[in-house]
Amino acid sequence: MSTTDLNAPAIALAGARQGAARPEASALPEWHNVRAPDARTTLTAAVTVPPGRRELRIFFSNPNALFGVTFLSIMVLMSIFAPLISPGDPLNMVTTPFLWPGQDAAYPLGTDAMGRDVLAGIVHGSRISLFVGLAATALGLTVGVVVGAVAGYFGGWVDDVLVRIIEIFQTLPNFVLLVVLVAIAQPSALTVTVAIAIVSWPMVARLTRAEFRAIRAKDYVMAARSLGFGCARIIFTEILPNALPPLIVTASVMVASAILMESALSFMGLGDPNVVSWGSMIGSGRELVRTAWYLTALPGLAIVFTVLALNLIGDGLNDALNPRFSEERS
Amino acid sequence: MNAIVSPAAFTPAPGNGHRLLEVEDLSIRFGASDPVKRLSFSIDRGETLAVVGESGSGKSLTALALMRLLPRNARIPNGSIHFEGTNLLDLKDRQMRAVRGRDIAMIFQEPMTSLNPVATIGAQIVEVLRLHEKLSRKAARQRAIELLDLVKIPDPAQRIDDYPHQLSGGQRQRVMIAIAVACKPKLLIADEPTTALDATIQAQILELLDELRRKLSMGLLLITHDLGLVSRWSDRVVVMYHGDKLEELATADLYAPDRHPYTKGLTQASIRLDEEVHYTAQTLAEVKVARSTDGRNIYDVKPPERRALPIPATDREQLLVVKDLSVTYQGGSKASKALDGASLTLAKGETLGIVGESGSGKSTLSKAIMRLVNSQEGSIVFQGRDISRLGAQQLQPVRRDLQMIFQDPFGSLNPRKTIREILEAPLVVHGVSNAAERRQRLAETFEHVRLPSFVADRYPHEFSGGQRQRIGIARALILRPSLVICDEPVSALDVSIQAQILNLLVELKTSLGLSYLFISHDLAVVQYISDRVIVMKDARIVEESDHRTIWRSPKTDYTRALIAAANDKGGRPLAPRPQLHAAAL
Amino acid sequence: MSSLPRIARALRRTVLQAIPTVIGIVILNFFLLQLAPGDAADAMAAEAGSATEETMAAMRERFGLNLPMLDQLLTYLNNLAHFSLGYSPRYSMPVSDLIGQRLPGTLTLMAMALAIALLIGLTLGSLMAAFAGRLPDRLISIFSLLFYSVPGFWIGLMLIVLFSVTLGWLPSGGSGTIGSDLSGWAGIVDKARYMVLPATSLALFYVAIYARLTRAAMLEVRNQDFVRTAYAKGLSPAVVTVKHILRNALIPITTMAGMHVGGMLGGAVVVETVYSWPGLGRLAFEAVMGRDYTVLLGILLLSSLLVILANAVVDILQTWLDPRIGEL
Repeated sequence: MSTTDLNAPAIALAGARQGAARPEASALPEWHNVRAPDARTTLTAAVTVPPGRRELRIFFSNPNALFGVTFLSIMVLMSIFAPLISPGDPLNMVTTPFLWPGQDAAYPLGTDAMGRDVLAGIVHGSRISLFVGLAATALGLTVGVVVGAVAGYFGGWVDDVLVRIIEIFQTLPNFVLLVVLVAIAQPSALTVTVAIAIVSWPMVARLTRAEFRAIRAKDYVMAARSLGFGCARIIFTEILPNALPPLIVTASVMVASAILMESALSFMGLGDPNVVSWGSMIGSGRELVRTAWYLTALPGLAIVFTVLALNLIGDGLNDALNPRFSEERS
Repeated sequence: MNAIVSPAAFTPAPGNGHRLLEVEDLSIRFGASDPVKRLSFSIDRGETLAVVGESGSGKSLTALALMRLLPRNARIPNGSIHFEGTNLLDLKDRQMRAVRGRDIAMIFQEPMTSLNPVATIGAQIVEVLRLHEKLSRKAARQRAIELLDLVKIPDPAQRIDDYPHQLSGGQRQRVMIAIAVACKPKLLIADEPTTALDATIQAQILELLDELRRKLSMGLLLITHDLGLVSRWSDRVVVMYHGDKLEELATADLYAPDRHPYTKGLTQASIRLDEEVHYTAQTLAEVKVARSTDGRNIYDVKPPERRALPIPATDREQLLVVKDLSVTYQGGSKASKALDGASLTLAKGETLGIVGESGSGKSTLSKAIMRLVNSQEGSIVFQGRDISRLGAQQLQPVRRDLQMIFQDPFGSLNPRKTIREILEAPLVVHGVSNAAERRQRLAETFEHVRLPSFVADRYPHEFSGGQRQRIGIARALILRPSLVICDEPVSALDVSIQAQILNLLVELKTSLGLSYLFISHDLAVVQYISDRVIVMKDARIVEESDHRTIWRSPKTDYTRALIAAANDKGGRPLAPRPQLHAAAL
Repeated sequence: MSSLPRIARALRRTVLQAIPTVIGIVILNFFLLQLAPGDAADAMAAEAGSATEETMAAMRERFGLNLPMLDQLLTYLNNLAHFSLGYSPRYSMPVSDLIGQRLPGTLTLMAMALAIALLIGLTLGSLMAAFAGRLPDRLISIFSLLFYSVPGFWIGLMLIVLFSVTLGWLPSGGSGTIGSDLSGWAGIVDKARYMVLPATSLALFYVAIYARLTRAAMLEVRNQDFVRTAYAKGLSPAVVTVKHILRNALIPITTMAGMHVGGMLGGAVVVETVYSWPGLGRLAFEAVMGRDYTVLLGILLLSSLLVILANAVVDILQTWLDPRIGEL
């Protein structure tokens, strides 16, 4: 290649890519103001990779995250097809009580004190856990992002007021507030979902606000303002896409903690009384924990693995999206 | 403090004569690439060697390699580093630790972050004394006070218990130097020691380093991108580019005619205040480096071209008249003025330069004129209309004519949009709804900033700093503005890129009939590009004059100090610049 | 320069900031109480078994339950100002006394759990940071993620199955051997035996949080320029870690530890019910079962105040750790 009219020396830069090439975490420090070498690719040779594709590749090359995705997919399928997998009401008595797992091939996970099939309970219980987890997260995320975005973007007195409100909700101990809300509103799938959303939005709002404040100060937002972009355009096309990575990570962790909260509520007898849930199975099994401990162990394992899967996904997303890995993005 | 600097304290190392450090055939490897390749150089006792290069040249990595402080993922596949006859690469970790801080010390670029924020400066100096000199607590503290005095921190006995955040940037760098020289090292490595500091402070720090080098007869390895600094403070120079040592020469020969083309390009591209180069008289030299098909770098210099542009008349139609512009920031309980009663005028076709050190309010001024800050007072008459009270709706048409170029080419482009999206969005916002017309405007703007249009669908991270700055300029130009505010547009760029961008800005100004408000901390750059200059200090405008008068007969002490600092840095008297011609390889 | 004035300034700022929060929480509490189905008169009537309309009206009159909302709020605030959180008909005692009885139990449990979580969490986190990217890091990281995913009440039950039922090493519930009047060392050991399982169940989740946090903070600090300065002085990695990295890393860790006090209180609610631990959580559970909203909201209010107190402690701790805070 001869001298081009693109005068920059050895043109392209690997700056943006150096993070990806870097081993995940070296044991010795990598100092901030020592740049790793420029890979000597040139502009013409560079392949355009839209932001996001690379992150996806990193995510799917992470075995932990892959396990999480697989397990969660199975859980989701199981909850969708629950009526096909184990037809009938899981709350019905089907056979003799206290069958231990493996004792009867027809009921591989045994039966409880009322002769109800434990497997059917776990299969159907996944529905309420996942529904509450996803719905509460969707609701909490929406409210949190809106509040946080407004506070972070507009600042001033609006920010002051919203921060106060966020602070109040963050000061109230989450689970105690949750118990109070559900107890007052009477437990049902809907009230539990709304209550979990109420206790979880402040964290999202806080995070969104911080992101918006940081990104709002960036030069490209300054440039958008100086070009006369409207607030909506700036928020939705300039700031939000750049604020998404941490929010995506948070969302996966929120689903996990919503499932934990739902199970704890059900365990305490504050779940929807009309549907079987993992937490309520543990709750009814606890009296018999000395004799039939499998009644608490099995639904508990379902919770643990589902939540673990979500947390593994969250970790994988964090590694893939972590802005630290591409310095230019931060 | 005489105890520290007394020459008697030094015992010359046996044998080996004058040679202090001998680096041979040193390579540094990250994965598959070698950011430093087969580098050899040496330093004698008491000598200052400058390693000069632009970003990515491998100069900082070389410094870390000498200290054996490279990141763990870096390897040294070949080469040796002999210090007083011992190959440092053969030492055990424990032995190397005994060398660090005692025989070889280092100071870093960022004084703001290089000191532990939760420990007092005294404790940080005492630490190194107790480690290597095995002093008692009391004696070490006494020595620390002496050292602070040596590096000219006023009131050392009081300041020793201060925390780093209570000190200014310059003072923190002095503390770093005190830590470095505490054990009277034989070699001091200074990695861009003044890059993060204001010009007036820069000169003082370099003077201090040079004085200590003489007092303590240290070897000094000065790592920098700044040629002015090199010519003033070093004995010999090693020029590096992308891991290759291009040449080694005596500093006095830096401007000699038979230099390597890259060195030549760098020396010509860096503007010096005392040369009084002005855009109306000549272009700046440009360095070009390209890769040949066999993987070698080809270096080329595009020499300066003479020209005779007219200086725009200042009494013509006033494009911008700013009166008593003030900005107040509400910081907690107390309000502080970031801009205090600034008034200025800018005629059509004129470039008004604004210089000042950090915190002088020059950036606030630019943002206030752009109506990007709240709580401002005063009037801004742009194109005959006061825009200081306009609402967002009424401002919209004004913004088309009033645009801005930002300093940081990395932070000023949205990383999640392609260049096409970045450049088309302003057109959409300003009502260019016809897609064909938008494409046309895009192509035209690419032409203006000399970018090939095939890059339109790429993302910002795929471009180098200089290219991104071109994209930033394209974004400002695509609406065809009449006034462009340039806020430190070349400060984040390497010298060679800086010259290209400045040439481009001048070209665009003449071809598109633009006016510039050009803000920079770099006096030489402002001198080159401005028709008139304003000096700012502590949120106020302190002086205003045309581009000749201000440098030749400054009215205020502050301006004189700024000029002195700028000249001091690169002020070694030089032979007149020889006429240069393109040396294509 | 002494750090006392800085700490005093930081404390004053914390108190000033807490005032609107406390007011907001009190008002929120009041409205939640209004939303609760039935009022105190209903509850008492239900307790008494029978009540006529007249006696109900008389009771409402006596407790001011028939007054307009604003007056009721003022009454509520007035009561609060006299440290009165209302009366629990179920326990026939003032709510504040009831909470006062149970508070020490919860505080002891939380303190124990916090100590365990910080001790193990910091250790594991430092280990992970030291071996970042290598096998020990990955192993601990998976384990901490597992701890992070386990519901406290379930692990509580599983620990009971293992350590009480199967192995018989530790008691499965309560806070001390009933009927025994052990004193001195034996008493402490007895108490501790009852505390091990609940505190561990509560701590596991936070072990995971602190471990991950410590890892992140240490890695972050380790890349700072001043750590490079420390290495350039010739200090050994151990000295650099202890003297330069750890203290800086503790600053974000304390912040987060403070933010999790509320969460730990919530966790205590569930764990206490599993172990029949006589604390606030168990009281909350009983209140939920008996739909005793006065008690429930009293607990909510008090635990919020506890969180504010914890935040103040964290502020002081941070000011002490970080000389940049509280500067004029």
